[in-house]
Amino acid sequence: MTDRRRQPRFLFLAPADAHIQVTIDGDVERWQDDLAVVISTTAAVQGDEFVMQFDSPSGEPTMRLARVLGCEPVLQGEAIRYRLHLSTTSNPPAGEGGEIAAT
Amino acid sequence: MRPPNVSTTTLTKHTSLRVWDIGEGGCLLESRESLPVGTVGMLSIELDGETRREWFRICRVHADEGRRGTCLLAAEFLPLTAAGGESVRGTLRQWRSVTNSPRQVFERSGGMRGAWRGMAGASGRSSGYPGKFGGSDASGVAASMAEPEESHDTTATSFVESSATTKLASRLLNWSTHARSRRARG
Repeated sequence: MTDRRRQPRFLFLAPADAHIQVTIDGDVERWQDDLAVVISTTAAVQGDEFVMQFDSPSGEPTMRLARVLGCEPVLQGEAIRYRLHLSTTSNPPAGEGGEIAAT
Repeated sequence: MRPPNVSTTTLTKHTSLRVWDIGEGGCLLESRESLPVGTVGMLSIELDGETRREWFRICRVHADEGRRGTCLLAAEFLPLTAAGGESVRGTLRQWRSVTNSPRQVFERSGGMRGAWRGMAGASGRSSGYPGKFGGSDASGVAASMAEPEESHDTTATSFVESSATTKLASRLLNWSTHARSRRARG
């Protein structure tokens, strides 16, 4: 069987704290003042916080903190997408969100 | 104000969770929110006092959709870069070279204790197949995740940790079975 686990595991006596960064792509549908509407492949919960990354007009990567105000499913063709209503604020704290891009 | 020419963006989300076991191929995560199978991200965990990172992909999810509580996520590591010293794979590879005998119980300076586990009883899939985790299969999955080979260990430490994992997995998986039964009755 090719899909069996090939390496043994180290088992923690107590679960270890960790954190993950998950990045999803989105299409910007609207952006007015600090409110952005993004079409995403993944749903989000109201209150979720994301670090939004995009290229500025000068071509430099820009980051903003985005909080989910609402999420609704939309049908695009035969695929289900999610319309995220985001409230964006100024640049996130240094080191947050840029780690994935940096690695 | 919308920056001109911005039509696409990436959204990065940070989530805290717990890791139950870990190997060079992947790990078992416990999270308060479910992630869909196929989700790709980066795991950061402190091993030996240093933060190690690794790209992963969620390959199995053991939870009912929409239930509130923890769920177990099986993740496989993606070898996108070389397994260097700062990667989880590289660190675990070093640890494996230290442990000569299988199932050796040891304590790490960084506060992590691990039991080196042999491959004989190891089970699990690293493919995208979501696996069986409901109904009559629930107990079987719990047993496979807890890896029953541990019952042959003679060390009390391994026995305790194996029991804890079994209890967690059984509770989570049986919960979904019971919830389904209640829904069916109701």
